This record gives sequence, C-alpha cells and structure tokens, in this order.
Amino acid sequence: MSRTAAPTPALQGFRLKPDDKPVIFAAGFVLLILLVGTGYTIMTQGSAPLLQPQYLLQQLQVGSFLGIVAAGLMLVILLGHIDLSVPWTLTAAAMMATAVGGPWAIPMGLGIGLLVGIVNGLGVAYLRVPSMIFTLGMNAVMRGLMVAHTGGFAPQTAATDLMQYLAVARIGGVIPVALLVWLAVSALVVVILTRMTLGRAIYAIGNRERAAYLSGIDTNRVILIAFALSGAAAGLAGVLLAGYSTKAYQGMGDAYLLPAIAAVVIGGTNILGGRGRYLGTLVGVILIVLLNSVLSIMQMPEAGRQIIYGTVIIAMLLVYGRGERVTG
Amino acid sequence: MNGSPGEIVLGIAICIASGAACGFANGCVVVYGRIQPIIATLATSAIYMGFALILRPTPGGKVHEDLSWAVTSDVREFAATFGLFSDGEALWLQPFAWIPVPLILLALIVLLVWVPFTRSVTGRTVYAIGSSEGAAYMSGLPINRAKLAAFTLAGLFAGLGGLFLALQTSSGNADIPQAGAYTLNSIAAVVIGGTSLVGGSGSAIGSMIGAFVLRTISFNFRIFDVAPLLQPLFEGVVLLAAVSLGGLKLLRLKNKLEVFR
Repeated sequence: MSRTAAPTPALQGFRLKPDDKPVIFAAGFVLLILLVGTGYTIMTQGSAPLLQPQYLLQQLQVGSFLGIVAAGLMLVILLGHIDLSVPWTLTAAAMMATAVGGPWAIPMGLGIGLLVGIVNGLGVAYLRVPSMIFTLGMNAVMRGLMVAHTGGFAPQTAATDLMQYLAVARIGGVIPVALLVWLAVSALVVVILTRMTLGRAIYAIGNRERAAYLSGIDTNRVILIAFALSGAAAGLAGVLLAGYSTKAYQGMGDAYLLPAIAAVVIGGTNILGGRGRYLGTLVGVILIVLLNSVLSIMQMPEAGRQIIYGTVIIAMLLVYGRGERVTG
Repeated sequence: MNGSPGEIVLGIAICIASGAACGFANGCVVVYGRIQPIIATLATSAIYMGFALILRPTPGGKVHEDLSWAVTSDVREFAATFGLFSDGEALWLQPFAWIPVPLILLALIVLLVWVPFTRSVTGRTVYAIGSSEGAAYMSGLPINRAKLAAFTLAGLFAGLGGLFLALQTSSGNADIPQAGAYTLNSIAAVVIGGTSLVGGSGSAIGSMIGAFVLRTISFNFRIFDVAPLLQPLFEGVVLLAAVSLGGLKLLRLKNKLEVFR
C-alpha cells in the first residue's frame, strides 16, 4: 500500500481535491440521514422534529463528547498510530474528577488524561512498543486502577457544578456550552494541524517517519505530544460526560472508542497516517451521532442498529476509502 | 447443540462454517474492497454482532451436557462419558488419562491446520506478504488467495473458539463486552507469542504459548493470594511490562534509522 503525501493547496486549482471528497460525501450522507429520518417521522407522526434547530442543537450537544474524543484520536491516527486506551482514560478522568471535587475537579480529570497520554507516548515513541498493544495495556492498567479505587462499584461521588454547567447548560437557553467546548477543542486542533510546525511534523511522521527523522524532526517528541494531547482530550470528554450524567460510572467510556475511530476514518483520515483533514472528522462525528439518533427514533432494535452501523462504515469506505492496488 | 448425535454434528459443522464464512466475507472486503483491514473488520464485527443479537437476543440455548463435560475435562472422563475403553479404566490408557481433552484438541488443530498451512504455497505467501507485499506480488505469488485464506482461517478459528466457549459455559450469549475482551486478549496473546504486528514473522505455536502466559498470570493470583480488587491491575501491569521488554532491543541497534520501520 503506497501512500502519497497531501498535495499542496497551490497546485490544486478549482478541481475537487482528493481530500475534499470524503468531506463532501460524508456531508451528503448526513443530509440523506436527515431526509430519511424526516420522511419516517412525517409518515408516522405527521411532523418533522428532525429539522428543528432545537433537535439539531441537542444532537450537537450529545455529539460534543464523541467529537472531543475523536479530535484527540485524529492526531494519533495521523501519525499512523492508534490510541485504544480511550475508554478507561475517559472513565478514570471522570472518576477521579468527581472523587476530588471542588475547584480542582476539572484540572484533575485533564491531568489524569494527560498523564495516561504521556505514558502512552513514552511507551510508543521511546520504547517502540506497537501503539495498538501498548495503549491496550494502558487501558487494562487504568481499568485495574479504577476497579481497585472504587471496589468495582459505581462511585458515589457527584460531578461538581462547574462540570455540570459545562456539559448541560445552554447560553441564553439556546447554545449548549458543551458545543462551545467542542468548538474550542476543534479550533485548537485546526491551529495545530495547519498553522504549527507540530502539525506539519505529525503529517510528515505519518507519511514516512524515517524521512521525517532525517529532516531533523525530533519524531519521538512529536509522537509523545500527540499521545499526550489525545489523552487530555479523552480526559476532557470524561469530565464533561461525568457532568452530563452528574456522576461517573464503570464502563462509561466503552461506547466511545469505536465510534470515534469510525468518525475519524469516515472523515477521510487514512488509518495508516499522513493524510486527513479535521473538517472531515467533524463531519464524521456529526454523521455518526445523527445516524445513532435517527435509528433510535425509528425504534430500530440493537441488532439492526449494529448491522446498519457496520454496513454504513463499509459502504462509505468503498466509495472513497479504498487503498491502491499493489503493483510492486 | 442438543439432540441426536447427527444433529449435534450438524450443529458443530454449522458453527465452524459460519465462522469461516464470516472470515471469508472479511477477506473479500479487504481484498476486493481494498479497505484497511483494521477498520473493515471493526465494521464487519458490528454487523456480525447484529446477526448474533438477532439469533440470540438473551443468553441461553442448550448444549449437550455429556459432550460439554467430555471435552472440557481430561481423557479418563472423556472415555468414561462415552463408555470407551472400559469407561476409561483400561490399563494402556492410564499413562494418558490425566491429559486434558482441550490440550489434545489444540494439538489436533496444530497438526491438521497449522502444519499443512505453513508448508503450502498459500501459507508461505502469507509470510511473504507480511514481509513485503510488493516483493511478493513481483514474485508472482498468489496474493489475493493467501489473504482470503488467512482471513477465512482466522474466522474459522474464531468459530472454533466460540464453539468451545459455548461448550464450556453451556450456553450462547451475544455479549459485546465479552466479545471485545476476546479480541483484545487474542491480540495480546499473539504479540506476547512473538508475532510481529508489522507482519512477516511469528507462528501459531508462539501465539498459543502467549495465550498460556496470559492465563498463567491470572492463575498465579490464586497462588500468591492477590486481593481480587487488585487482580485486573496486576494483569494490566504484567502485560505492559512484558511488551515493554521488547524495547530493550533498541539498545543493541547500531544505526538509529533501524528504529523506524
């Protein structure tokens, strides 16, 4: 599987850029989901709740947790690595944040995420353990720590008011604060990826780490930073999720890993690294959240949801995510 | 898996065949769809989980009790259950009577599937693709066939694993966390067993030893009397330490460039 570098924008003119194709297809699919869902509600209830801003804003609020996880994960996937420690990083951050409470709750949650991310980065970059297996091990360690910490029960501690405000409140009763947090994280990621040398280094390592190293990039440091950011993003999502459900509980992060990977990949980021735009990840998250929501409005049983979910991912990738034929 | 012997055999065959069929479908998506395997199989696993939930929305089902007892204990019980060799008390059988049946099944699988596989062109091609797909293609090796065979065999063995799990627990259960735990643990077993995640080297025997290592870790908890609440933590730490030992090989490298794949 050979990979090509992201072409420079100047050479592209007005043609459809290869990196834009996933974004446009995914956005089209989002519209399709909305249309199908609306058709369904008009048929059954005679109304179109899906097209109301209230519904869409609520979906964006729910989607912001997934969006933050996916934003961090994208940095790691662009390197050609993967972070499987997300579920229990998220849960551990939520549990420790609620356990500490008070003004230090949020820094605690973020710090836990950052710490896990740094350990991941040290293992992957400096020990050169394959990321898939090292982050998996970290996931097991965090689960073990949390089981030891809570005794295997749901912790009794509650989220602080600030955490609940960030996750649930709406400014002027309209715009969810969680959405603003997601936008802030998104802005940060976009700045890193497009305006900072760190971003260029991430793409370079994803394309060919050897070449990046020879051009003077401290590749180990870049990998460490990317994993740390991914851990911090998972920690932030955990803090918000604990605020959303007012407490932390076992396995709260389990439902976030695979959808986050799917969102990043559907958005056109190459799972082998080196290619992808943040806009695609954004659209990918919205696609997954809306798909889940519409399927539950249609009262699809869990089995059908799983099947449709998998089929959609494969179908989207068949349209634009195909690798190149091996010809030597 | 209950009823007359014929029905039981049919059930087992269907079980294995469905595993192989799922694996073959994975292979088709990867080979002909040219989608990255890790993401393609994540997606298909969601689909298969959906089918499993349709087949068995709640845990249950029945497994033939004698069969389940026979294959999960040792040779003596196996013979006794089916009234073979004077109920397992025959003199010549005694030296083998202690051997657990699962171990024999494992050895059979190695002999009947793994050994022929590594000696066939298809099996060698699987290794060649792992080392360098481009070079394998240029050498005229049957790349697509090898990939399809690898995925189909992976599915077949997953089916066998599911079959054995059903025999052990005497029920079928479409359980997402359990399925996830098996995915992750089997990857860990393969890596501990010395297979390169980049591809091209390793063996099924190593993976089996890796799986034994994983199980031995949890078995030691009983010997060393570790508090139950700390067990998951120790499991994780030992796993992490085991894979980190691989980092020691970096000290021997002469050329820093060899660090990168």
